Amino acid sequence: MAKSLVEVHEKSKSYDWDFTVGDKTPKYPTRYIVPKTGKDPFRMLVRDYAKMEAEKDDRTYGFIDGSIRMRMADQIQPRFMEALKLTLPDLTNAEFQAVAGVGMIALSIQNQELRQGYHAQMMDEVRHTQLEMALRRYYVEHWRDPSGWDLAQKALYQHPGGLVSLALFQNFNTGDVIDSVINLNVVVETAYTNILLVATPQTAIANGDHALATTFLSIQSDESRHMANGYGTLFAVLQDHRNVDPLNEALERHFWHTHRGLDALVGWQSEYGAVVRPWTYKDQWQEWVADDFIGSYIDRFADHGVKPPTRLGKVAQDVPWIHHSTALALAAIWPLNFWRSDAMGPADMDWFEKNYPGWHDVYGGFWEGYAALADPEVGRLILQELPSLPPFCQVCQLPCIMPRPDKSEIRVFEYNGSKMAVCSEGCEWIFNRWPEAHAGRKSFWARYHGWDLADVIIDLGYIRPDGRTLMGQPTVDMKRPWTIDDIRRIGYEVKDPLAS
Amino acid sequence: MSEQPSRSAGVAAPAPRETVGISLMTSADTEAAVAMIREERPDVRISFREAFYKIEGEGVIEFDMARLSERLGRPIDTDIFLVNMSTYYGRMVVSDGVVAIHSDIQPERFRD
Repeated sequence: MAKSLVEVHEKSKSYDWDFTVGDKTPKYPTRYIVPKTGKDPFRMLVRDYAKMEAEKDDRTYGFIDGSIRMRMADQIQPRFMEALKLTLPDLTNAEFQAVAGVGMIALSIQNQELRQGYHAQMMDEVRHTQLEMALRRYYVEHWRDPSGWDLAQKALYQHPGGLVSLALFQNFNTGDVIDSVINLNVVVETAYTNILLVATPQTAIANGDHALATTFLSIQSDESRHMANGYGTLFAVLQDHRNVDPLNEALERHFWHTHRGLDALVGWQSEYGAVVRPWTYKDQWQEWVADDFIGSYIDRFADHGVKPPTRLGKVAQDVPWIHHSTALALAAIWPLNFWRSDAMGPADMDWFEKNYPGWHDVYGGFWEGYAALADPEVGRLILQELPSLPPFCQVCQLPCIMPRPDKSEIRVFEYNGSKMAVCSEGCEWIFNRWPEAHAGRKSFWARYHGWDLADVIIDLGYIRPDGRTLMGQPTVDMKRPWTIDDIRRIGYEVKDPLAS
Repeated sequence: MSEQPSRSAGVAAPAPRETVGISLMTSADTEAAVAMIREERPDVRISFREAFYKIEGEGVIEFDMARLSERLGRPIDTDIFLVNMSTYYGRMVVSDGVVAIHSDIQPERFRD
């Protein structure tokens, strides 16, 4: 008979001992008082971990093999696959940042049971990057338009959408390690990965991408243990009442920033990257974030002093809109994208208006204009229709047209002699709390101020192998694709809106 | 989605929800687990979403591996059961042959 998990787990903890030589100080200091006690709800042991992960890999890679045999990539909706060229590298960046973050946490938490959970998590994050790279290899070799997939990670870090990802996920390994746990394990993994990695697979299946659905669901099965790491750490630090205030502050900060980055990008992928939409993003947010995370998790910690974020109501107000504004911004800069940015047609616009009443008044005119200018023979870009380029938020890196272009909450200010902008009161609060963490990032527009748009595209390297055709296109079914010569003829000059 | 009242954002919660939930990716193991829980706990709510099943109930949801093995026709332990679990909410407890999710946030084991 197999040995009792409970007994073996208890025995393994008895092998813990204090260091008798060397520096006992945690490598990364924390302002929290971290007690020695703490529990892993999964009672994870290395032997069980290895067995479980081997089975997961067998199933997931086996499915990708099957997808190749059955030529399943041919079933994927082009619009879904094109949007994924941005969001999948975004996720891989999150995994990279989490590897570093979890390493810091494991080095600093003086509690063997929790530390073991974080060691397993670190291996998980590496596994996730491998799974995502395998998926990308599948797309490069089997998707009909691999352009963009071939340089996606490099392309991401140059692109404004990639800066949203960098700004958000660098929080995993920047600052206080317990703050990083609140960000990574509690807010991102317990609240937000559910929409990305559980609900979005339903959209993937509806749009023909079964390999993505299988891979994401397998990744999320590891995230479940990461949620438990967050829970175990939360409970450990709540044993000391002096930790309550900093914990609530960290929750406030990371909940706002995560809302900005992930509600914008995941909402965009799931609705503007889909032809078939099984649900609305706002409903998914209500279910997984407001009901399951706040209602069944954070509210249950109320007796221990944990409070829901004070900006929760504002987040709920903005969630129905910010991904539409993100879609508008990403479509407006389509020549700078490393994917084809599909136009929204009449059926899409009807769906948006039906599910987000008032949508057409704010966004409908833009999409009509976008479609009208899609043909390069027209010789004009939608960018030329904008009064000016919107500044990017110094904190979340979204364009300052949030929550909606007609209700922008932009704030412009000077910091150390430089003009900067933030998109909202929430991001302004985050900036002022720790300006040094955010002030150094150079804006995409500042980097290319005064450049011809054609030269920006060449500098980014977003050109197809023929040396002329752009990676980015304004629809997924161009009869005559745009080339760099078409852009050069227009003569559009990038102007940083914050330049004096 | 849970049939419990939605959590209104921006206002204090009258009382924390007692609801817990688990999402199992669609597979043979999962279909057996869903059939079992449907029989054992007619009160739980099960929603099929192509790629996964979301199972939600009040207080506690529990899967016994011995009973699941019998239904499946081959042995399954907690490790392999967890391969099928994409996510959950509530308090997870993995113990000998049982995976359970509780709404009670602080069990005895965490009080020491």
